[in-house]
Amino acid sequence: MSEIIRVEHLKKYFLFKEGIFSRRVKYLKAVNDVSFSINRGETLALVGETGSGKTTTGRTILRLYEPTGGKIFFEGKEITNIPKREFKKIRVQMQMIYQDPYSSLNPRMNIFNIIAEPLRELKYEDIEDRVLELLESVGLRKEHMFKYPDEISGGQQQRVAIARALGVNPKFLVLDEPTSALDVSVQAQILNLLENLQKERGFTYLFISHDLSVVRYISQRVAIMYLGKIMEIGTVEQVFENPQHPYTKLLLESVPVPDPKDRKRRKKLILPGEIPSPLNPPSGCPFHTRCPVAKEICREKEPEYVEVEKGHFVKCHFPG
Amino acid sequence: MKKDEIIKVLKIMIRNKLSLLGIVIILALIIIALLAPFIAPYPEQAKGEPNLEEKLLPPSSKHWFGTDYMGRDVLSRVIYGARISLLVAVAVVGLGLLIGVPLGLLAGYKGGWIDAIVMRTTDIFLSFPPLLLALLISVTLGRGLENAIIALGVSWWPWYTRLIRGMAISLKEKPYVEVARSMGVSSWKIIVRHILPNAISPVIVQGTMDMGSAILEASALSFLGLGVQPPTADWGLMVSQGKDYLLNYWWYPTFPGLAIFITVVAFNLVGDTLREILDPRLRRRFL
Repeated sequence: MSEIIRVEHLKKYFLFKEGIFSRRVKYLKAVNDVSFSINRGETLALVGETGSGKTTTGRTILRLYEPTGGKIFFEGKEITNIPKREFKKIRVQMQMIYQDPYSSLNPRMNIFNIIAEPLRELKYEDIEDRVLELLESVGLRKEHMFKYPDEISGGQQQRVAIARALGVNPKFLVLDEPTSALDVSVQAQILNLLENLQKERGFTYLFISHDLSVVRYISQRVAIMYLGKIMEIGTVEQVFENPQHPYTKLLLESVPVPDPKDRKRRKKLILPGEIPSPLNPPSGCPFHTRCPVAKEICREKEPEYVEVEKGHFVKCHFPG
Repeated sequence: MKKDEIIKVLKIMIRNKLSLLGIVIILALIIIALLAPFIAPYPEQAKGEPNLEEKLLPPSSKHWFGTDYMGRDVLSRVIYGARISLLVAVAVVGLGLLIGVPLGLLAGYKGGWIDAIVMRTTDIFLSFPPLLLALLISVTLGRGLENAIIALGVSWWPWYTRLIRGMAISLKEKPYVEVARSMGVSSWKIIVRHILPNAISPVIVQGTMDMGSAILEASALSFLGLGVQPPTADWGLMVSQGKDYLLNYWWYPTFPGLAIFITVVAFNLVGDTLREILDPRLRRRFL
């Protein structure tokens, strides 16, 4: 399997000025030293609470934010600092699907024009046939072609957004919580659609989500993020069946169980407190403030990655 | 805007009594302006022909609005004045939009030094009281209707620029703009297809309301002797000339004044309803 995306020590800091006259500035370290790679045709899920930096990571890879540090490779070529004009050609191959499908569609354009716009840019012939083909490949019909975004459902809006992305033949898609704004029944449909498209066209996905059951369903590998850092990364089996980081364990515990009998049997472990402000991150291991097994060393020294199995890395002093 | 949306908006406006009143008044004014030579009882007097035997007569069946100090029929002159007022309204707002909207779009979408230059220029214009600036330009250009229109239009555009720049700034962060950019759509096309159609609603509203204000300010310029020159029939000019006669011959300044008042109110009624319909937060109430 060949690598399509590689990220090395990626950093994205946002600058905050304190007061009007003060010269002091603070950094919000939204993404703080993140490294991973994704193979062609694979789905890597990026999981974390609100404010853990998962969306920022996705956006920085697409250079919607300029990275503060680190390197980004696309198909082996470094794209971190290449000039805008050159990047433009590469950027088309990397598309993003947004959390809120409605805001990703221009409300004043009909579906046909929304999907046709990038095709016109690429000078396609027979645009009408092509739009219809794209609509059908995401499960929409000809009758939707001349409707406006506010006349179709949320699920259909997301399908339109996907169809538009398909039009430019991307290789890599960042899916930023593509189903979290949708009804549960529609979520499954969109996930199936994304999965089928991946099989048919060999897409590579970076799937950003906080919904662990969805992640388990769609992805092959998972990275757990906390305060801008990856705490644990591995295959779905490794992370879900054999979680090594206390944070991962607590996250998995917090997934609701549908069967009430089962619910009683399970011992209750609740993730205490809230995620600390990334403006004032804790010293040492960022998770030590909420960690049930934290010791003195966790407060002082940031842990290194430990490879517990092949391809299964944990950033913890006391894994297991 | 979409065609069926325009029809929808029109339907709502007709259902709303106040905006219907505004629309009816404006339509009536347009018809009066177009048919002035046929409606006005004394078209020659409206164009300025004196009629000194009938100076300053009160309203009667022969002269419904009375006559002025040259014996001219005030009704005829008010009717002819509608032509000037509507022309002024459309031309001033049109000129303001023509300058203001492209500059605002460019400044908002591009940002950086373009934004800085455009915005500092609007600051200069906005630091003058609006009428004073129009007055200054008008004095510089000289008297006459065309110069008054240019003066008002030039002092007007910064408002539209500011309005549309703000819209453009918030719209350019929208995911659909981001997507278009990522797919290689040029800035120019993004501005025309994505920013302008979504930013124009508040400007339409403002423009409609401003038509009333434009008439008012053009009248003020005429009143001060800068805009339209006698003997052309213009509401502002008539009020200006009639003000000295107000105590003894009230009808002379009152009827042209009323005409200004009614027209301004009509444009405001329409603009107000338009704003309510086009504001997405208030929109659900209507649609």
